[in-house]
Amino acid sequence: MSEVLTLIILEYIIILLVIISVIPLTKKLRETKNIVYLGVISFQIAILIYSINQINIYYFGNIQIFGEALNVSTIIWLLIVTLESLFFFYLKNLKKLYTLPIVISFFVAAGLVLIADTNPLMYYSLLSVFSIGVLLIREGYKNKNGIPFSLGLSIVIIGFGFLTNLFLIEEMIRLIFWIIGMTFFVLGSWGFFEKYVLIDKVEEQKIKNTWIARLVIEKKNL
Amino acid sequence: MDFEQIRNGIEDIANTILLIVIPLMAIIIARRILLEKKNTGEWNKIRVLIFSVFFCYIGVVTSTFILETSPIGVSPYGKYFLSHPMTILSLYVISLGLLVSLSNCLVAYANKWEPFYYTALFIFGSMFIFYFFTGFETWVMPYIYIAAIIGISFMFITGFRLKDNGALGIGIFFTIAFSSLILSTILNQSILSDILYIIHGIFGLYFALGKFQPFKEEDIKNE
Repeated sequence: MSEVLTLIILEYIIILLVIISVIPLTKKLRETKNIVYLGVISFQIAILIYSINQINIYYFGNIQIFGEALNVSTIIWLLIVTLESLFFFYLKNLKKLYTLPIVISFFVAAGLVLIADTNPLMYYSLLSVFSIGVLLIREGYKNKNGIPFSLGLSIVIIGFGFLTNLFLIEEMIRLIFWIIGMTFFVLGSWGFFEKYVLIDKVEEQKIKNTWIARLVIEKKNL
Repeated sequence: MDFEQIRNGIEDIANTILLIVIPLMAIIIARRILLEKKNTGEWNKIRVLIFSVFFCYIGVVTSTFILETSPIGVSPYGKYFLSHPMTILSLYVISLGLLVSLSNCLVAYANKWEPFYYTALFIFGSMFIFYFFTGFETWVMPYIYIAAIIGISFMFITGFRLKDNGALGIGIFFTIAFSSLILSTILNQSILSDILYIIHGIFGLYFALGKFQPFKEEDIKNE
């Protein structure tokens, strides 16, 4: 009973982290009307739905299975992977690949309906989560943008958590990984990485130079 | 000479004609692509896709020819790898699947629907991977039929909307081919399907030679 309670508390922490991360993103979306923020918010909402579903499972213990091995959690996980891939393709303007994650997710889900083999799900998750996660980190680092950087970091950690859960069937490990991943994302959405990690040295130098110039002018005027 | 023999004779004639006509069409289209590349310095993607469609059609025609006229087709392995309709790994199904997928890509390219450029290929490729993991292949033939209907319908729509002779020609060509396939497999009307098969081969040659031009260039320019 105590273990279930711990799991529920951890899921609530994830929900809280999702809400905290969505607040600045919604603000930015309102200000800029940039659809990228909408993509990130929908990714977070998918994580929120996953956690709510898990709480439902812990409370009532009923896992709805479709066919051989497809359940609601897997469907939401596939949605998370699809959204993450779509976000990356949108960011890189790879319009031709928009339908690829949708098609693959559909076939992975269909495969789980037919046979109780999680290997395709594992390969797909491994490939998309790590490749796209790393590419997002690289993209964020290159452009000194905290959102893709933190999203990439959180995707890699969240994906790692999901895969360990798939192997070890240990919810606690997954939850710890997800909380770490979500914490990174919260930091990213509140601008921590842009302020302290991804410092644009050229821009910083420019600002410094402007201040020095202004100080010199002020001194001269005095 | 009984009815069955006449039917077989027509079938052999149809298969032989197509075995000559389709590669000829592919060669004619390839020659045009190379000429255009030489003149403009760029590959015409639409023409390359048309060539790929006909190249895949060579696979369909060859497997049908070998299956129906040679002893290889009678052997169980030959039947399995050439054109057993329910086996995804057969030459017939691979060629036909690629053909309908590429024709859907062609439609997306012609209409500039960028997100759908490779969707049909993704679906067909996923079906292969799906087969290797699950051993399930029942969706392949329905996919081919559905994709063929979508492809042909949009070929006609694209042909009339953009006044494109190529799209309309391919639409007519594959409508005759598809009708022949439906007649032979679903309605079991072999003789009629073989006659249609011959007709579509003749039309194919007419089209590949560039004679099929219902929309004249001057009319399109005037509009």
